[in-house]
Amino acid sequence: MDSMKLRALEELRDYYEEYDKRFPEWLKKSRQLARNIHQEYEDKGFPAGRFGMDFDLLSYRPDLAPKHPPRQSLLELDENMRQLAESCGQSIEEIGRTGSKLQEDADTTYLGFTEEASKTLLAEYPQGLIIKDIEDAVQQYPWIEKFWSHILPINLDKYTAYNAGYSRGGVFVWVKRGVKVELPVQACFFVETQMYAQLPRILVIAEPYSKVHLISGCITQPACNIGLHGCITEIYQGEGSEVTYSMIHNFRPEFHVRPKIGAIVDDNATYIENFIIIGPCLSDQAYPTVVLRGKDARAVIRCIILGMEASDIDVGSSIIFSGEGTRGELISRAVASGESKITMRGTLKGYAEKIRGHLECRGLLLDPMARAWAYPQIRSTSPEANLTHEASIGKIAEEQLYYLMSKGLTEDEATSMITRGFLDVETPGFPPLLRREIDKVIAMSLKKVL
Amino acid sequence: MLKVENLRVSVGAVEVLNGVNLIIGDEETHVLLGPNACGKTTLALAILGYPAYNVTGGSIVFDGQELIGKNISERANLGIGLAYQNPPEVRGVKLRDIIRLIAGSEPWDPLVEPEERLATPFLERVGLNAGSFLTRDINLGFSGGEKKRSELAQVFAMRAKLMLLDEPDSGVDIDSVKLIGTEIGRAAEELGSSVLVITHHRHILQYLEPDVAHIMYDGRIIISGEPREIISKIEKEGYERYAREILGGQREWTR
Repeated sequence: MDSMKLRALEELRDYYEEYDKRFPEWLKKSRQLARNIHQEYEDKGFPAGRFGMDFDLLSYRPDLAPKHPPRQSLLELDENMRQLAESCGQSIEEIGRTGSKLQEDADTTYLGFTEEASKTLLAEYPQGLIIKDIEDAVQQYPWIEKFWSHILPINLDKYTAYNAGYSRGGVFVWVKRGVKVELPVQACFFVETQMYAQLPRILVIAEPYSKVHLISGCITQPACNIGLHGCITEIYQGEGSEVTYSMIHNFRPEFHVRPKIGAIVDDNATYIENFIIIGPCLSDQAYPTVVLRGKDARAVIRCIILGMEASDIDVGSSIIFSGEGTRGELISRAVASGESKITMRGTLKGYAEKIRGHLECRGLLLDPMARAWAYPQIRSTSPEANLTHEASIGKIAEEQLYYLMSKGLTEDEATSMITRGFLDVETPGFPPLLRREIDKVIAMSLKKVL
Repeated sequence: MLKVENLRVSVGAVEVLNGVNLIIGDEETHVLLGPNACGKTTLALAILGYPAYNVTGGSIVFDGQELIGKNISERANLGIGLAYQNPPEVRGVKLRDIIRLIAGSEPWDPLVEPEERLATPFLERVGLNAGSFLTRDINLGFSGGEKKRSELAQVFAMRAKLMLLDEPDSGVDIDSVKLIGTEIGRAAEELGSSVLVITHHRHILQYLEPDVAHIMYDGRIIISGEPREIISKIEKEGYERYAREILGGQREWTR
């Protein structure tokens, strides 16, 4: 390891020795272990991530950010930040939301329930839904230890170890048994400091027969072009529960993004994921893994990827069917423009009887230098499994273009309509208003690239 | 309305149309008949300006304007509407939105117009159930008959001054032919449009009452005239014999 890296690690160690004093003993140990593993990986130079481009993690530091003062409400955000947050599915007026969390760099600057939720949901179930900064939650609920790095092991790769060792901030969502939270909870993660590594940690616990939708919008200030966003999200679902996790990424061309996501789903429960990338980045790699552990559990995953400029995007999901009668569906749509490179992955692994899964990756190339790859993969040890896949990559078909032009649309209008149509996949669990907002954002982003 | 003069069109190295002449007057309905692969669809697509159909000679004048040199959407915006024989599927583009755009409105927005009023009558007019078809992706999983109907609905929504209808009746059951035929006639009358129907069947013609029938054979229109007369001739003799009779010794037949 070179001396720059050694110095960075030393500085981090000093900083975090102080920082970690707030945490319970088990967490201190776990973080220490993660740091050792990270250092070992840095030392050996491997393993980097299984997928996606490798880069020097220690150029981005989680200890850099200044302290951000708390805000009274989301309305305090300036016009610029509001627009950015809205482009990531966040409602500044909190219309149709249960609660909001705002994290700026490392600090939670706003967290609370909406008035509407306090009057309805929380009046009925006073402690039915807990939303907290995860760093407060670990102090309050010692049992969280059981759910910590359980799905995503610390030593998965250097990014996971980096987050597990140096995370700051994040959100804890806990829905109690039978509580159905119909309106989404929104969490906005803003990167505001140059060269900062934002490493939040998200934990969702859905008790049996509960329901919750978390929309996390990850975003950066225009003034801040270089940075890293790497989060760990772990989702635990009890019997008959329904969790929708929507992620919307809108970064800048010099950003690395490494979200690590894992979910464990019990009997009859449904996991829904919408993963949307609408802004440019240097690299964005994600490989959410869903374990359908319970009988008749179900997973529905949608990826909508808009690759622009020189973005290097490697996104895929893996569904593991280990419970009998489980079903899963993964649909990816990617539009590559400029010089972007998009890799779509998808893996279905079947280990149980009577399972059914479908995987679909479609890529559309808009520019001559744009590239896309699709790697659908199916493995099964069960003779009764029904797992299928479809994949295609191509440019806009001339016959479609001429067809729409013959209806009176100009060539540009027709191109934009076909591209929007291509990205128009059903997003289950999305409130219609949010879907409309996202469509608008996609349309705006498309205007920039077409 | 439309004047095609000595139009020559080639696709790749093959000349598909070799000197087509066709005049369609205002508010007239014409029918174009001919054997398979004689160039009927090519004529329609060439009038519309498909780049793959290379015009090597002649002219197409629509409403006093020369069309050659204008692109597809310019021609469409002048008022030429084509109901395709085999329209392509366009994933994710909803029938509702294309009809609204064609009719000169914005795509549907639930907050502005909760009930989808604008596109509904166009679909109902051609016998498509608006409830299910508004939100369908264009032509994706449509049956042959459904495609024809949706194409017609779009030509009507466009208020086309010249409707080019490429086999609107093939693959359509007999009751629906009546509906489609009647609606084409009614729409043309309402809009004051001229119509050119390409067809293989006489059934639809009884609802359209065409003014002129043309027969295309081997890339040319070989005869134009009174529809009844021409159609009964074809039914008696078939295209090949009829064509030979008309052309006599004018040309050597290689087929």
